[in-house]
Amino acid sequence: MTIAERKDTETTIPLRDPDCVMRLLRMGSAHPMRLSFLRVLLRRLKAEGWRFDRPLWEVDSRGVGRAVYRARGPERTYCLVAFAHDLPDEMRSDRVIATAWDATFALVDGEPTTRDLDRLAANVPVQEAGRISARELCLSRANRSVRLFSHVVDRLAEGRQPDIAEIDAVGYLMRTTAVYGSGKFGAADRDQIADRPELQAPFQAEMLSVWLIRAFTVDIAEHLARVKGGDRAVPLARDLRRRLGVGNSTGLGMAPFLVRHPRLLNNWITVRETALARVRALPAVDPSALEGFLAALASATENARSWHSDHPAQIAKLSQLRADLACIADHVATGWEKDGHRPWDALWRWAEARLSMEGQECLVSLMLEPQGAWIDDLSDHLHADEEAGFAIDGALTVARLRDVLARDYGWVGRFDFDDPAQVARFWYVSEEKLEPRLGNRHEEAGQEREQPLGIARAIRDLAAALEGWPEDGPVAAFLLRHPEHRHMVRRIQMLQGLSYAEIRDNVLDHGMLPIDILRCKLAFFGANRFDPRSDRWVRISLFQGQPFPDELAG
Amino acid sequence: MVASLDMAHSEIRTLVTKAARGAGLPWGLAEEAGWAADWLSRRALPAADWAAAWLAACCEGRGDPVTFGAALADSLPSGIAAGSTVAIPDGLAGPGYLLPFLHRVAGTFGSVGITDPSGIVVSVEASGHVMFGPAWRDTSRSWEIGPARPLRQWADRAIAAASVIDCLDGLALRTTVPPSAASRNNAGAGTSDND
Repeated sequence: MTIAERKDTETTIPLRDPDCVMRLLRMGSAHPMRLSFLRVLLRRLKAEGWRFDRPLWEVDSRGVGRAVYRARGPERTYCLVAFAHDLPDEMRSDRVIATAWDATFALVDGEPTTRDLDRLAANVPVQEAGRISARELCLSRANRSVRLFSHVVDRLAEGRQPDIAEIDAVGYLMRTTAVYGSGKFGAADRDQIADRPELQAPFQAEMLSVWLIRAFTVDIAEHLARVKGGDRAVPLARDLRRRLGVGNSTGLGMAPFLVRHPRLLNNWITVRETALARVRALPAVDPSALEGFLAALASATENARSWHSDHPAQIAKLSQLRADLACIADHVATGWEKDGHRPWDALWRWAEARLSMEGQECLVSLMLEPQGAWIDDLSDHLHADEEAGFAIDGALTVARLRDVLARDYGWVGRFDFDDPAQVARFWYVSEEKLEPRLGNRHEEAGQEREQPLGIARAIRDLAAALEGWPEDGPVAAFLLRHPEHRHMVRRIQMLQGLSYAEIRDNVLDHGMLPIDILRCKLAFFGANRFDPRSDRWVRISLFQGQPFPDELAG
Repeated sequence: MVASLDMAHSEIRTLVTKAARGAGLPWGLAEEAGWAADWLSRRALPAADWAAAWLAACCEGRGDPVTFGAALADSLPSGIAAGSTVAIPDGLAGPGYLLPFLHRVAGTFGSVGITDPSGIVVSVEASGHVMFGPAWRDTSRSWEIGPARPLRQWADRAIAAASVIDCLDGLALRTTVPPSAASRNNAGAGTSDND
């Protein structure tokens, strides 16, 4: 039984319609929530009493050297090996085409030996140009936020705390520019570790890497402050430290992931939607849940107030969000019948009628926040078996395939692919360090090397190719004649019954904003402060406001 | 110079998928090629070497084991259920890439084997175990299964010669678009990211 099927026996509130949920505009309004991956990680680390320390710190007065951060759980230990570098300012770039960084990292499965450290020292600092091994789970790097890092170091060196406004304006000392896992550059294959409870949910090794990197970013700043200020230097105050997350700079590379991993996307969305349906089905508002909801609302309001972006689309969204949060606060105080029938559902239906998408999706997170007892078990369903159904069922009849197309892909009829504007974009991989890019089909060369991400158009093409084929003929015969449609036939077969597997929009359209796809994925990571720097490039913050390793037990 | 690479199975899969696409296969068959490479490398079979062999042949317009194998797996069970045999085209390079598809067939029919007039070429069990017979051949005749290598072992990692990976990388690069000013200008933040 899938989660989606199970929910019908647990609640009588239907999940939201995929035609509503899986649209880019709404996906681009997603907010982090308690089932986001970094929250799942921190809950587990705390519940299982994981211990953390820093067994190695060999960093010189220039801030160059290496360190090890150790996380010890009930069964296994993981270590982040950090390499600190002295990067010339002119070499600092967040793009994938960069070749040097302020710091580079590897997450080791177990504890690294001296030999491991030396091996990693020869490979990790050069990132994609090096190799890691099955002993490592992740490879990553980070660059300083030049203005905040310098400010914090200078202030601490002077024996003073940094300006809180400066901290809030940036939100992080360093931002990661890539976090690779799942077999990339020689790392352990995902299936080697997927059965470990602590790594079963998606991106847990990556989240652990980033969380430990966050500790490193403060340690290296304090180290350089001590070098500069000597005895005058002070450590960063705990309350200020909490306000720091780890930044992340992300480009187009993250967008194709959601198209290429539809079973995973389906499970992420199904988990969230099931959680929402469970909360909406609750018969009453528990006082402690109300308290938690109000606290989350206050926190979201504060977050929206200090959330800054210069991107026109995001500025408009922030304006909507702030207005919607005020509207929610007013309604909760004066209009919401908390003693009525299914009060959470009533609140939700009010929001659907009154709020923007931005406000609605924020409310999803707020409603889930205090309901851990009802929904946290759903985090066990975030992962997916992405191999299931890979082998094509060649005996499927053409008639049946047509039926599935009509049932699952009717939304494709909204688009007109004869309109040049609706096929204006093409996704490709550049020769330059294999950077994913988005081209203009009518102006740029290279569309013959287009990546197969235009699902809606491919469905239209498949449907056209099926015309005239005998109804009772096997799909195997069709594919012998039309191997160019094989990947779509597989996709259709693999995704039967998975309502949230497809982005129900046209990712080739001239008006498509890649940042909408990025935001959906990053919200599931648990990212906040979504700040687009262009239509295809975004900065976010991870773990902001969350505990540090030395605080987790407390 | 690195003689061989210790790779994740998923790396081999991704690389062979791209290389197959670069060699001209449709995306769906390129996906099959990547899946087959993963299947082979987990069995300590030379997935990269064999891929380089059949992809080179493919670039010359010759038939390939993935297209044939996928069609075989798609159209069975009808063939074997009727008790008939299926002729494999002569001259397929890298015929080891048939094995993953024979495994799919074996999932329905139990052990599946290939024979020739001199005897058993290879058999694949439903469990996925492979047994090579004395008649096993590699049409390219440039590789052989080492007699010291256990044929039924499972492998934690994929090992491939660096020269073979270079060859596959070259094909994979055919899926990428050469740089241009327009391409560069449209990538990234569009503003300084050094702040």
